[in-house]
This record gives sequence, C-alpha cells and structure tokens, in this order.
Amino acid sequence: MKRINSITGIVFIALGVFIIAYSFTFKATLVKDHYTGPEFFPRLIALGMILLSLILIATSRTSGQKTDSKETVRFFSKGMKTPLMTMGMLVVYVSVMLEALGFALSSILLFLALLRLLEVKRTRFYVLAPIFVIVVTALFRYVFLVQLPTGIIGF
Amino acid sequence: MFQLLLNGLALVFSWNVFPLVFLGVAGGIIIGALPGLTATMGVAILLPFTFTMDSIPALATLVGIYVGAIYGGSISAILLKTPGTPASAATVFDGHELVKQGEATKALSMSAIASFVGGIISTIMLITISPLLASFALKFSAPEYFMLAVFGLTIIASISAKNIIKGFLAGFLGLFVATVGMDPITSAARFTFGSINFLNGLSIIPVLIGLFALAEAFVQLETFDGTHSEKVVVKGTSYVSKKELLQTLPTMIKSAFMGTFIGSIPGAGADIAAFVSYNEAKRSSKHPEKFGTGCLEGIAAPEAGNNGVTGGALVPLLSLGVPGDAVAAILLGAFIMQGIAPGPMMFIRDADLVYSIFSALLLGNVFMLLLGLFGIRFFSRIVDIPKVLIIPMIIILSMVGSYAINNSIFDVGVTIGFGVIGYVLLKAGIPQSPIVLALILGPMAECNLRKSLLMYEGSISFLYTRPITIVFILLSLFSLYTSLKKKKKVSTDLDGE
Repeated sequence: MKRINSITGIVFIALGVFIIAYSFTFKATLVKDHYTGPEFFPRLIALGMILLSLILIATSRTSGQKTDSKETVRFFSKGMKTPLMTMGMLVVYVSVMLEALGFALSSILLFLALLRLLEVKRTRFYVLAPIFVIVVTALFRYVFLVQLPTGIIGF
Repeated sequence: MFQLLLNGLALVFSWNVFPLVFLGVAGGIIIGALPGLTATMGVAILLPFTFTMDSIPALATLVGIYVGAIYGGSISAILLKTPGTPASAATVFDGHELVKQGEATKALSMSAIASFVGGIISTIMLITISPLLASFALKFSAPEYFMLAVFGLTIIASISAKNIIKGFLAGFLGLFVATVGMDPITSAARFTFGSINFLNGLSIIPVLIGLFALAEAFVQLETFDGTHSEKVVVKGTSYVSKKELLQTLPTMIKSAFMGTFIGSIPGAGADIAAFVSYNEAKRSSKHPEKFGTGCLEGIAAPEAGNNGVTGGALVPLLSLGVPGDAVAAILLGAFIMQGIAPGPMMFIRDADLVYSIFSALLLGNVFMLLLGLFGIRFFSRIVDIPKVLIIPMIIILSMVGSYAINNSIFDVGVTIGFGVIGYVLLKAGIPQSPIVLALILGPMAECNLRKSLLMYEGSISFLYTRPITIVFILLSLFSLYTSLKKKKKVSTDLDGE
C-alpha cells in the first residue's frame, strides 16, 4: 500500500499542477466577477489536492510496515486481464461499433464477446444474449421512446 | 400536512404510479439479492428506465427500487451466506445459521417483517422531521448554503474512515470534475479542451453509472473464477410466529429509530446502521450468547436498522438538498434530471411531489413486505443466476442507460471513462462515494462562496458574523474531529491485533 499511496500522491500532484496550468488559459467573458474569477475555485481545488497528496506521500513513507501489510491490496493481479480486455472491447464498442452497427447489433456482439472472454461453454447463454439485448432495445425504443442508434441494419 | 399527505397518497395510488412502485420494489429486490450488486448500483442501472417518465412516477419508482434493494440484500445474505449488499453483512451471522437449521422461510420472513418495520418507522420520521428542517432552511442565504456544502464535504472524511486523506483526494477529484464546463457566474469555458461536448459540464448520471455500475462490473470480472455457487434450496415452511414477532418487536422498533438517525447523518449509510443496530441488540439482550447461533433478534436488528436508513437518508436530501449517502446522491441526480432542485423551496413549490415521495415510501414498504413474504421461493431463485450472465447484462444496461439520458454517444464514452477511473481508484483503495458527493456539492459550494464574496464585497466576514454559518463551521470541525478520532481508533485496533 505504501507504494500505491506514493504513486496516488504523485498522480494527484500532477493533476493539481495540470489544473493550475490549464486555468491560465480560461478566456474572460463580458460578465465580470470583481472578487474572484472562473479560475478561483479550480485553483483552490488544485492547491488542496497538492497539499493532501504531499501529506499522503509523507505519511505513507513514515508509517510502519506492520499496519501497511494488513491493508495491502494487490494492485496488479492475474485476474486483471479480463477487465482490461473488457475495457478494450468497450472502447471499440463506443468509438466504432455503436454508430456504425447500431445499439442492438453492437450490444449483441459485445455480449457474445464477453461470454467468450469469460470462457462460457453453455450454448443456452449464447442464445440468451441476443434475446436480452433485443428485449432491452425494444423496451427503450418502444416503451420509453428513446431513439437508440440504429446503424446500418436500421434496428 | 395531513391533507398534503392524503394528496400524495392519492397521486401514488393512481394507475400510472401504483404499478411502477411495485415494479420498482420487485426490481430493487432482484438487484439487491444478486450477490455483489449494491443498492447504489441497483438504483444507478435502473435509473435510466425512469428518464422518460413524469417526475412523480419516476421518483416513486426510484424510491421503490431503493427500498427493495436494501431489503433484497438480506436474501442472499441468509441463503448464500454472501450479503447481496454491504448493508446486509450483519444479517449473515444469524440468518444463515437458521438456514442451516432448516428454517430458511422463518429467517426470510423475519427479515421481510423487520425491514418493513424499519422502513415504515423511518418514513414516519421523514414525514415529521423534513418539513420542519426545510422551513428552518428557508432562512438560509448564500453564506449558509456555502457552509452547508462545506459541512457536507467534511462528511467525506466520515465516509472514508479507512484513509481520510484518500477520501478527501477523491472529494477533490469530484470537485474538479464539477468545474468542467461553463463557469456558473461568468460563463467562461473551463476544462473543455475546445470541445463543445464539455461545454455544459459532464452529466451526473453517466458519471454515476460509470463509477458505481461499470467499475463494480470490472471488479467482478477481475475476481470471477468461473465457478458457480451451489443451487439454493429453501427448506422449512414455517413463517415467523406471532409470539416470535412480539418478542422481537422492541428490537425492531429500537433498531428502526437508530437506523433513521444514522441515515439522516450525511455520510453514514445502511451498512453502518445495520452493524450498529446488531451490536446494540446484542449488547442489550438478556441472552447475548444466542447471537450468531440463529437468533431471530440477530436478523430483526440489522434488517430494521438498514431499512430505517431509507427514510433517514432522504431527510437531508429533501429538506436541504444535501444527499445523505451515495444512493441519495443518485436520487438527487434523478431530481436534477427531472428539472427539480431538492431543498426547502421544494416543500413550497412542489409540495405534491414531496408528499408523493413520502407516500411512495410508505407504499414501497408495504409492497416489500408482501413480496418478501409471498415471493420467498421466487426471489430465492434469483440468487442462482450465474455471474457470467449478470456481468454482461450490467455492462449492456450501463451502456443503454448512459446513452438514453441525452441520446448521446459522448455520454457512453463518459460512462466508460469513469468506469475505468472508478476501477483504478477502487484498486488504489480510494472510495468512490466522496467523488459523487463532491460532484453534487461542488457547484453549490462554488456558486454560494462566490455569491457570498460579492455580497460582502470581497470580505470573508460572512464566515464569522452570521450565526447559522458559525454553527455549520462548528459542525464541520466536529465532523472532522470525530472522523479523525475514529480513524485513530481503527489504527490502534489494527496495531493491537
């Protein structure tokens, strides 16, 4: 946990520095706030973030290993491969498939890909996947009247 | 007030609300019963189903889901020894012991009745307290609202008792996310990276779905080992008897009041209420040694306690516009979606809506009792649904839900982005609830701080010249002090082990 805390602290310091740096690019509008500006609150947040990160780094270095070992969480585990691959699938789903293939078809493909990823062998589940997606699509489209992306197949 | 409540009941009993509350409770029980799915996740993924509804049916449905999900957690806690939601973790001790003794029906019926008692008492408390608190809050101006938001933000410390600094860092992250978009005073674009999509800020719902549903699904995928739990068989046909009910009634009533009180404190949720109620019931019992061996009071106390929170958590939400816990934060997101700002003015402008919510809570608890008692066998089948199907279903529902809010693929991207962020934060031991609280309280804090500075011509004297502001400062300091003390105690206990 010590190492994770230090890395967390560094990431948040970087974020704080980014917020302050980016706040200099805010363009003034015709509305004037004489005491504070649009950059006031983000900078306040960034300063708080940096200060707390420094405390986190300092305390994680000074705290004893005994307590730390009880909190230890394995950040990188063998099982991480599955969520990482799912994230990859979702990026493809949102950036390519959703608009081109429509919600129903891309979601069916996503569901089937997830079943494959989880090494499911039961055929029944592969049949259930499109049924579930079609029911959800129909529910949102015809009951809740939400215009879901239709893509090339028009559904 | 009584007339308003009757109006609310009439609205909730109309044909377009009544069945929705029922479906909400049933849906909530199903989600709650699935191990690993929290009430927060349940409300987050079922929320999109209410987008196109009018405000009263939408909020009544969500209230039903909330009530159902908190109760539903006890089903898997009792049958599988795996709490469906963290709020039911304390129910495992005695609930599963009774199942081992062949008394599953008795345990499940006890849980349903205790949840009902907890829910009803907390709703009555909500109906009594919140209008009083709201009328007091009408005196608030910008400085008071700023300090109220700060007080809400200090609650972050109590949510994250394990590591307060990490909790606050999560809070600051939420505050930062809340600043994306146009500045509320000058309309200057902030952190938009030149994209029009960021100009209105990030919609709360896609962020919530990402943090609570998708991130949780990623965690479940990581721990998924392909094994299926054993098929659950509900043994025993006898329900809890009249005598047993009377014996446990005092425990239920006491736990319900404790749950309501704990729920009304921003930051303390159903899981804390359940454990505090269980410990108190054990401490004050004449037979504490029976706890953990299948004692009915051991089910009655945590279940009345955790459902007591449902009404309690709505007290600060409805009367002050400050969410009491993560579920209340999602409900606040739903209010915003409907164009309603919770807070004292709502009791004047939308009294019908407020009293409809109260009525929906009452009705939801009745449905929960009926479904809990008569649907035991059906709901116990729910826990058999394999995770391998549930996880992809959650992912698909998260996608469609985030799209449906604005018909925007960009929002789906936001959900995926926050799903990834939430997953990384969970792995780093950073809690997600503070992000949501800060995301909601951030604009309130910023806007009112800057308004206060304008009112006082740049001076911060509003912090020490207004009595209510001073009270909030003291409350914030007290909240921080108790959280730090609690954290110190936890550290000492760990060292002592």
